[in-house]
Amino acid sequence: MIHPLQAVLTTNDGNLVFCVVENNILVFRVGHSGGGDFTLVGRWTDDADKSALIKEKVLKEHSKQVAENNAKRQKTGEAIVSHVKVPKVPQPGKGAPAFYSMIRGLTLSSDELLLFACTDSDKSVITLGIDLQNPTDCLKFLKRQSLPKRPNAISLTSEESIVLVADKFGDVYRVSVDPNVPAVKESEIEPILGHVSLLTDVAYATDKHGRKYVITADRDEHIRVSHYPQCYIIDNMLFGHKTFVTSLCLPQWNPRLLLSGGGDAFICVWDWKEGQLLDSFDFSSLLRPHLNSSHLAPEKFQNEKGDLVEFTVAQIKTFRELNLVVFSIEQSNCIFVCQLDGASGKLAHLQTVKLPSHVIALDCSQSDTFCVTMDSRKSEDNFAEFYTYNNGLFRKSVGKTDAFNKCIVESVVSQNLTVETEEGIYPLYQLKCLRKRGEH
Amino acid sequence: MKAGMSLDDPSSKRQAYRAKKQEDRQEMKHVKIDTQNTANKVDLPRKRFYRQRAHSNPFSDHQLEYPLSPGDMEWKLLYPAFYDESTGLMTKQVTIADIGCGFGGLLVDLSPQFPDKLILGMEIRVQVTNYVEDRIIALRANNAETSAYQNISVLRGNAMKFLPNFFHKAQLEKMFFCFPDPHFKQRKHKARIITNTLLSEYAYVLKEGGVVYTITDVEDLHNWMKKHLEEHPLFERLSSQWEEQDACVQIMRNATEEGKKVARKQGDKFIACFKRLPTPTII
Repeated sequence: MIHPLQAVLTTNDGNLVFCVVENNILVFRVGHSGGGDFTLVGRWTDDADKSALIKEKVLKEHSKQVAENNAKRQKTGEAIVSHVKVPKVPQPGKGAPAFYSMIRGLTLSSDELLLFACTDSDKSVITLGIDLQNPTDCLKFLKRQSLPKRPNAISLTSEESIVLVADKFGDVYRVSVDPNVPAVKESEIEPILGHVSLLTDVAYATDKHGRKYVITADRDEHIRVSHYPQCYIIDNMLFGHKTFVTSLCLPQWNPRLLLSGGGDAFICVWDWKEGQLLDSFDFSSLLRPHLNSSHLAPEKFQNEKGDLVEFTVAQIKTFRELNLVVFSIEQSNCIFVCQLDGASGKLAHLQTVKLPSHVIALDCSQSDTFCVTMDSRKSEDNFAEFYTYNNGLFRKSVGKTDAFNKCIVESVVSQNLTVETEEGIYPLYQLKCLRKRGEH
Repeated sequence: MKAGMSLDDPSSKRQAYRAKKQEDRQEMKHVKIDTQNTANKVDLPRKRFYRQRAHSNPFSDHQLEYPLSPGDMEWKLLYPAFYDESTGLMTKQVTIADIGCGFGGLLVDLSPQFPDKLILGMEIRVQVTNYVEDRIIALRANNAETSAYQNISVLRGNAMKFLPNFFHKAQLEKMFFCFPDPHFKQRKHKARIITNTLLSEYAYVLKEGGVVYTITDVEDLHNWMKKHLEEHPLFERLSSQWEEQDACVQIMRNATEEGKKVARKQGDKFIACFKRLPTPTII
């Protein structure tokens, strides 16, 4: 069985497609012949070994305890014990929850020569170089910056080689991804701002006067606008969401606007600088025909009739020039396309793209084409599809889609990236777990 | 929970007391108290019926009620005497906040000191909040002739997470942090109420020139709060002379339950006050 593609990113010209499969990043390139065929040109595997890190921690704690005990003994006049057993490094037992080394937040530098990503394995931001002249593998590992907590989202800044990383502890770090700058010690890195809640997304923005901002979204329905680099000055809070926020998006052609979505049945459009909610686009009636059993609320929280549904906006994306917004709902088999009015900020539904299976990841880096990856467990040959905007609607690029899926099958098999059972598949739908269930 | 403390035990005195108070509270909480119906005095609540664990995890998903935004907050329910029915608006805004107000000692003593300012206590523990609520209800009823204690109120909330849901930018003049949970363990330091990142949020709700008051009996925590406030670009330590002459410092030192407890045990009390500096020019 071939593992579904968990994340996707393309270059602006669409010639390179980056995909995440398990703990690997694969790079596919459109063939030169013009026939639209793809070839695998690069692969990087996150093989960071956590056990070394754990061992280091265990030994550090152990030596600290020994020192403390000895100090105590010295006080009481007892003899110092010199032979102390070195502790074993704990190994996960049978039945321990599986560990997945996720790769999140694929981002390209503006010159598209560097690729950044967050890894779960050692909680770091990695920098990979892209060199298409290299015939064997275009990806080259350059740098790894460890962070204190698990990074969740990443955003480029206007300063070359600086990215903003938001973590699951609620903090945002300013991280140099320049391979020539050595990585900073994890204990020395200080957050530039923080929420007391898990951060789900971070965006970097500039206003019409050229002032810079960081916009952060969290699990407590908050969207915060802070100045940058004076991040200790909070400019504004955007109030409108009633549940957690998962996705932020600033249209490149109109960065006055901000789109946000999450556990609510609507997408918000903001004039983020003025703190004004311009539109709240309710998509529940559009989504209703596409809901499935996975959207039913868990039994414990279900209502008496058993028809309580819960759904989550997974990703909101915009194009560089087209005034269109594309968004996906977790575990649904459709994608919504809306027209965004730049002046009023109003959204209008344009099209619902039906997919053969559940959507996983979405990318709109190309000027008129979006790429979507899908849960391929049920339909073995639909890993990804490409849709191109033509005459006012998105239509499937059949040739490109077929060529890409064919290439996935070939290369994933040749790279030995198949999984034997469904259990081997990484968790694909994690956002719905963010929904809060008040405890006390 | 100890044996015999079950909340479902119908013979429990505490249970009966809490249920009775709950009923009274529903009735009394949001009414404007007239001078006519003050014939019977209301008993002050008894603290022993409201005992609760001293700690609450600020990171867990409590069932909290908070407004969608500061504009959605119905302050008239908390301060009925400051609601103008003819305009439908509040005549005053909350400008003093006691974060983690505990049993409300500070609120009660601040009330006569600032009769024309609205003072809000925030507390995360349910029973403790109920106690303060009952205490304010009783105080208001028993002082109906003078309309005292109409300017203080309390709500249950997690100030570390939802402060901006209650207060507009630059709304507050004073914020009190009295005897906060010390969270001794290194890995629990993020749970402390004063951290670099949270201070930015306090600076957001404070107006320029507003004051942050801190007091604790734990020297380590005092040093921690001092260090973080001193390091933060939007705060500046106020002098000890200022602290000496400030009425709030005196009240804070002597009024709170924790303060009294520390005094009984003859412990130290560490105080540090900080001014919210003007927002610097944006680069």
